[in-house]
Amino acid sequence: MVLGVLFGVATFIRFRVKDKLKRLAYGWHAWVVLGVIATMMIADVLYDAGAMLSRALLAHAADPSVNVGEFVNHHGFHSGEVLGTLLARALGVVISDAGTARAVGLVGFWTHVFLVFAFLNYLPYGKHFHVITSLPNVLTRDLTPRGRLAPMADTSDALVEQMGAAMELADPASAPIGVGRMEHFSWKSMLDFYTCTECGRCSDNCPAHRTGKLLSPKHLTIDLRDHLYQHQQAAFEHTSYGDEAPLYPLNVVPDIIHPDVIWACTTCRACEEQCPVMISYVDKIVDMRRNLVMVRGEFPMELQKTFQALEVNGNPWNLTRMDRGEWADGLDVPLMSEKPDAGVLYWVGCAASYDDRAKKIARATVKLFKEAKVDFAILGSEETCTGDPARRAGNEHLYMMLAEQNVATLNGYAPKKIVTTCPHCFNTLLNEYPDLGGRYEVVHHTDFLLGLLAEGKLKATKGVKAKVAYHDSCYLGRYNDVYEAPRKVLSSIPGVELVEAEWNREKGLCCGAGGAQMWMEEQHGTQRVNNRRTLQLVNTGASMIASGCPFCQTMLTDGLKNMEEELKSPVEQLDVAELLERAVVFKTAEKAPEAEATA
Amino acid sequence: MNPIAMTLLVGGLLALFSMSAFRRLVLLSTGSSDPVGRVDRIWDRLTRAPGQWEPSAFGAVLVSVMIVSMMAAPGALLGGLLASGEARRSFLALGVGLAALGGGLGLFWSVRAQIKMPKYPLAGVAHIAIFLGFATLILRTIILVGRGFDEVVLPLGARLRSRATPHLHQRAARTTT
Repeated sequence: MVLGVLFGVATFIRFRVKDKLKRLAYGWHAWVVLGVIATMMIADVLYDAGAMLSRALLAHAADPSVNVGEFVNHHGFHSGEVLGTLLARALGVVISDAGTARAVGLVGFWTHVFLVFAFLNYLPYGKHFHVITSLPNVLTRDLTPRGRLAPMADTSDALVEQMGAAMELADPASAPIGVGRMEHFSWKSMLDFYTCTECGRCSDNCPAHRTGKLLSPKHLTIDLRDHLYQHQQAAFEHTSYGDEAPLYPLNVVPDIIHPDVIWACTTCRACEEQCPVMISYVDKIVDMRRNLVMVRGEFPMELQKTFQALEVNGNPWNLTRMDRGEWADGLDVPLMSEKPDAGVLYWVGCAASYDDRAKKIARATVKLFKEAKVDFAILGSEETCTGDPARRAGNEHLYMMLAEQNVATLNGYAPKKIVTTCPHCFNTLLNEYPDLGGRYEVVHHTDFLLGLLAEGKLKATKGVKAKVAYHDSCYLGRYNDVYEAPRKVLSSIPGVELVEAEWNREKGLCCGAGGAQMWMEEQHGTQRVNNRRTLQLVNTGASMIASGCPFCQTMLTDGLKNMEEELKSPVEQLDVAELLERAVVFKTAEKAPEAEATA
Repeated sequence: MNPIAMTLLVGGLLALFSMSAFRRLVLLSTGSSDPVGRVDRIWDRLTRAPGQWEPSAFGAVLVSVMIVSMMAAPGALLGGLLASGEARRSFLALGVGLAALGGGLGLFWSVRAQIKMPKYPLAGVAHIAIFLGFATLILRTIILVGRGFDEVVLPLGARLRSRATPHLHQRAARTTT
């Protein structure tokens, strides 16, 4: 075991001397800790050796026929103290007196015991506090679905009341609407700050950080933690938390955290997925956005248009609500109002309803449904945005208004099953609407199509010769663990060779659209997120990139356009449903004209 | 060893640590309440490794033994302090043994909680090696602290001196006299 620890210490020393890792911070704290750990182990071995040798010398003194070396070997190796035995043998060469050997052992003994408790005292003052806090931090982790953000109020009216009360305060920023001041962070958030090991895995996997944006989840946590620690003495002496003498007078944004840090996040959860001590980042960032949006009205101006569009027309494209079902023209898709007992409600989502490219996903899905004789209907103009972009952008009130409207509509129909095209809708309907009284069985279209294939209702018989790289959508994969269904659908298509990007599944890089980034100008960095992700996918040598999210599709299509000149051969971008559509020989009359044209 | 020195060392450093920890705890209390339940579903939190959503029989056994050991250890130690002679030693050894077992299992629980470590192979393995070292270290330290009070303390009633050692000591004593 001592050898194992010394191996560990040596490995970390190597990381600090030879193979320096960018994600790590190199300070003297780590050296102290590594030194203490190594010394503790050596002291322990010294104690064993001293004690063993003194016993052997005592035995030899009592009976000169007892051989010191053999005595040490016999007792040392039998008790498994290999290093101690070897050291005792070495010390036996220079020490022949039991008292001296015992004294050596005592030095090891007291050094060991002292260092253990000294180390314990050192822990709260450095990043190694995680030795103590990681256990409670993991124990008190959020057990609710990973993709769920906690609601700020039970209803939008209650939230309006909270906001009204905040506006009446002399300093509205001091009101706990989201996170404006340090005291608005929950005790668990603060425990997260304590627990950060500064390993940097969060930043290493953050799409914003990797493309040169200001956001680094690790430094966000460290900055907040350091600010918190600066107030420890004040907190200890603080007796009143009144407005007159606030404990934390500074605004979190911009006094501690730069606004660009907050607005660069794509809410992809790559940081949370990697964090070994279960620190959450997305909820904190959204909480800071909530305060900026709802209390201070400070947010990127492009979002103003999006918020207005969502409020007025129920979609971020700001197209009229009445045109929501136009994508289905000529497909004879029934509406829930006409067929309220349909077995499946197909939740199309804004992108597949309004975006010309994404409409093709909805059309392909519907054609596959019809081929499989699925009893389904859509909401048409009754459907409105789930509110995901508003919520991730910090506009909780707008989200609640949209969500309440949808929940009322859906509860009116009580759908047996909801199939979504968009992973963002999927996540919101499945994980967030239950907080507002909307509990439904929700399935992503890739999962549903896999079921149809498994049941034999769909048959992928037509070959599609392509090398396909599948891009994992964050809200489908990391948020909801749907990794295999889209891959299985693709693998079922004859001729498809599935290849994986170096970063895939839970490590998959975000496309850059999440967290309302789709509706903001990307901050300046070294690279655009979608370009980086597209490059990773193209580097697989794929002739086709498949995805299961209309927003990812937009970003990856843009990425391909941006690198058009560098591509040796054209790379196509398709949704899983579109690819499956190409592989199915349609028996029904409504064979897809697009499918024919593109095949 | 030296019980007084051990009491002063351990007591003093633990008191210092308690002060530091208490100040951090006070700072934690300046935060707001959390919107998510953090101490609900205790059994799930204890028995399931992070990211594991299904019930785990292994986790349940691990946590049960850990809790029983940790709860029984103070009783045995208290019994040791109140008793005398051989009974005192047995109780102390049992208490230390149970504490070591509970602590060891607790640390094993936290090794199990490090489910994400292997994502970075070399650093992950090195960290787990250090962590397992710490598990042993905790057991070892408990034993050493026990030896600070009584040199024969070993977990679960074992004896530091081998069967041969007592008569060797006696013979050595006779030889020197």
